[in-house]
Order: sequence, then structure tokens, then C-alpha cells
Amino acid sequence: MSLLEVDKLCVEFSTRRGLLKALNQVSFELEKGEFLGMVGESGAGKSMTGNAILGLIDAPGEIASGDIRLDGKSIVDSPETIRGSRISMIFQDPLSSLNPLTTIGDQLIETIELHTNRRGAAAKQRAIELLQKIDIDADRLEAYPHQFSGGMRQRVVIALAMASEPDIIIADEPTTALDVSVQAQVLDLLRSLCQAEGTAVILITHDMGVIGNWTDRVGVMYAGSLIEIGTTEQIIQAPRHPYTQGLIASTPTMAADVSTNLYQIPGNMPPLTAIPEGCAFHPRCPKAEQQCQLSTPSLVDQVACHLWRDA
Amino acid sequence: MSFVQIQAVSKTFSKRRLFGKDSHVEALKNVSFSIQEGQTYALVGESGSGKSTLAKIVVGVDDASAGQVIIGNNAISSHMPLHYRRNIQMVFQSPYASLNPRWRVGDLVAEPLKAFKLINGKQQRRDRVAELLEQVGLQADDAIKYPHQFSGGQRQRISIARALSSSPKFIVCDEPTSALDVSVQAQVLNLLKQLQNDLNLTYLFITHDLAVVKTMAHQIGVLRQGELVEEQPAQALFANPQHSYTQNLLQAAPVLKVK
Repeated sequence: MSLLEVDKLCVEFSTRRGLLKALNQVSFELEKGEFLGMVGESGAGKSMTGNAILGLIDAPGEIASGDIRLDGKSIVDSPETIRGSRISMIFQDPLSSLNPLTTIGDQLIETIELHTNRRGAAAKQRAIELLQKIDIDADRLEAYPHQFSGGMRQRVVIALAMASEPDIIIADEPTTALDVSVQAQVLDLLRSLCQAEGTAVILITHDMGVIGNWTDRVGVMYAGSLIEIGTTEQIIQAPRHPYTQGLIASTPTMAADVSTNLYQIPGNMPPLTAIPEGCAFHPRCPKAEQQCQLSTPSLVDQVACHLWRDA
Repeated sequence: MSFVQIQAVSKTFSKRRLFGKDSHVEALKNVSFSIQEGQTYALVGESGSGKSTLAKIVVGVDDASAGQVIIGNNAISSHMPLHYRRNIQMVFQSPYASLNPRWRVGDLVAEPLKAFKLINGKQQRRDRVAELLEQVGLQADDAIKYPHQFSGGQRQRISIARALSSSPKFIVCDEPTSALDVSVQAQVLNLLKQLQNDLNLTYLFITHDLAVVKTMAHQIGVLRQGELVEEQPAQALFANPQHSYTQNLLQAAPVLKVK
């Protein structure tokens, strides 16, 4: 049994323009201590997956079908029992996830007292330990968020996420607002902390470079569906779904130079209100066949593509 | 001779204080480089390195504290004559913020034509807008739509069409793809390259993404805290970075390694 099982998850929004399928039959598993990347374009459903796991889907959205199980027990109906305690979240912008009026020490202690059985001096001791783990001096406990740089703030957010000793951290574009050298520090830190504590991470990003350098496994999303999942090595060196192939080919690498053009996937991802019949990618797919227009492929053997079913 | 010359440009921002000493921030320190006609010069640096300050000075929105910028044979400043400006255009980072949501695409693209008095009459304007939209891979009848009807990549194409409308020779691209998804980024980068070939455009390309630089630049300058710490042809810089800061930057860059 895996730590987290997402099983045929469907999230739907009923809007005036009709039913919008934000997530369509998404299934994957997460093992203890694993670093799983979720990649895709804006609107592909990466953040929606993270939000659904934490029970953060607001009306008019709802989990229409499917299940999310933590240690084999469904958490769909009672997400508040796990949110912030067993599964915590790191958001994109560290400044807006910290309270500007409270010292980081108080914010850490509050989280520790809320989610663990440490109180008072013990909680403060734990806060100091956490700061040391993120390489910030214990005397900065009294400092306010504005006194830190962007990278330090994001490290504080990581400490806050670790404070409840969670099983899983969902990190939604945690380094998009940061410079590359700071990004590397923050992701290295997150990875080493999670390895030390055995915490699993779902890293949501649109950056293939981040995926390639920091994750163990990757899920690729397109128009609300998980279309391919596999080890990072497999996905990057031998992608099977034509969309994954296109995504990797269009990412600038060090092999390119001014004289060569980048590969481009023709067209755009469809809006969720107008997902094509059959395979959602078929209008843009260079290898599409007739059956791709007729039936939606499901994830079999880690890839959702008709072309691999026959092979 | 080089088409764009940045000669010993410095910029100091001063803050007058009521009590105590005035404070000065040196945003650019004696920066010099030049760009050959028809080539792309990439300026790489992290937040606060002075990239955008330099861009403002190069397009004549802000003035240098010392040094000068020469484009073609014209000295650039914030009070230069209007006809100097038509040769210089800019493509901004966010196509969501740089297009007025209340204007139709046709009006957005035609604004430089109007500002520089480059057209006479409605028909001529309509034809030129149609030509520009087709040049960037949109359709002539997109002119009557509003920006919100387009995706991010298409909006960036509108920004590019607007920049092209005054037939400039030099375009400053300030992080033109950092708000876009990878597959769309590839489309926009290819478009910029193709336009450079077709129209012999000169680009100053400002970015923090080294992989993007690799595919776009002929020459690269690395800016750190207002100083140009290294400058080399693109191939040489990636093969053999000299300055330790460049080496660190290259090491930290999350570049995809496909075998």
C-alpha cells in the first residue's frame, strides 16, 4: 500500500457555460519519502490536483468522483483532519504566505503547538531546531518576514511546512518568484530535509529544468488529465506520450544555439470548456490516428496514449 | 561600426533624507558594450543587478548619470527628438500587463503608427495592421478583438506586432517569455528569431534564463550589482566562463540534460 493513492479523481465545476472538467480520471500513487514532480502548462490541472488532495476545492467546484487515500483511508470527506498536519503546503509567493505582523518565531511556535503535542518551551526549542535546519540563526526568531530576503523567506516557509512533521509536503511552484541561484539553494534544502525526515514531496512546476534536476518521478498533465507518469530518467530520456516528447523537445537546452530553431508544438492547449472529443491532445498531435479522435485513452502502463496500447 | 554602443554608462539613484546623510545607490557602474547590427546581445543577471535600469536608459525613458548610449548615429536621452524613437521599440515581460484591456488589438498595434504619424487614412492603417498581425502569426480579423480573447503566447505576439509597427531597427526584449509556458515560449522565441532574419533587427535581450540565452544570443554580458562582470560570444561563454559569478550562475541554472 502506498502512502498516498489518488484514484480516478474527477473535479468538476458547474458554470453558466456548462460543466467544466478540471480534473479527469487522475490516478497516481506516492511512496514515503518520494520526490514527485507534476509538470504541465498553465491550466493543465497541476495546482488543482494539489488543492484537491488538501480539500481546497471551493464551490462551484467539487470532487465529482474518485478517491484520495492516505495510508489506505479516504480523506475526501474529512480533509481538515490532515490539512496542515499530515499534509502541508508551500505556495509560490513566500511573502504572502507569511504573516507580516508576527515574528517568524511566533508563526513557527503557533504551527508547532497546533499540530504537535509540544507546548511552551518545548515548542520554542523545536522552532530553534527548525531554524537551524534551514541555516538561519536562532536569534532571528524575533525577526519579522520583511527583514528577510526572498530566498530566506521561502526557507522559513519550508520550516513552517515541516513544523507539523507531515508525511507529505505539496510545493506549488515554490521557486518561481526566486532567482536561479536562490532557487537551487531552496530546492536542495527541501530535498535534503525531506530525505532526512522521510517526508514525501509533490513538486508542482512548469519548469522542465527543475523537474530534471530535483525529482525522482514525474507526472505530466495536459488539459486536466495525467497523460504520462514515470521515473524522471524515463520521462526525460525516453518520453512516450507525443505531448511529453514535444514538451521536452521545445525546452531550450545547452545543445541549442542561435542558428537552430526550437521545436514547437503547433497550436495551444484547449480551454477546459472546450476539450476535444477523444484524446485531448489529438488536434495538436503529429502522430494522431483515427481512433485518437474517437475514444479517450486511459492511463495504462503509465501512459495515456492509443499509440502505445497497440505496440 | 557597431549599431548600438553603450559607453561607460553609470546610474546613481539618490534619496534625500530630512535628517542624516543622503543615501546613494549605484545601480549601474561604468557599463560599456556594443551590439552589431542584426545580432542579439543577451544581458544576464539576477534581480537587482541593474538589467531593467539599463533597458530604460537604452530606450531613452530614463537618463544615465554618466556616459552615453548611441544607436545608429543618434545619442539617446529622455529628451531626444521624436523621430529617433521610432527606431527603438520594446517588448515587455508580461503580455497581461502591457496591453490595455480596453483597447482593440488593431488600436494597440496601430498606436505607434499614430504617434509617429506614419500613416494617412483608415484604409492604409487597416492594411498595415493586417500585415503586422500576419507577420507575427495572427490573423487580419483579430484586429477587432480585445486582448482578453487571446492566450498568453498570442498576447505576446500582439506586443511584438506593436513593437514592429514603427519599423524599428532595434528592439529591447525584457524577459519576453518568462510569463509563458515552455511550449508557447518556443513559439515566441522562434518568431523573434525569424523576424530578426527577415527584417535584420538588432535585439537587446534581457533575461535570467540561461537556456533561453543559449538559443537566442550571439553575444552575452553578465551583469552583477550594476557591473558588467563578463562579456563573451555566446559559444565561448558557455564553454569557458571566466568569472566565478558566471560559473556559479551556470551551475545553478536548472537546465534540462537530454542525452
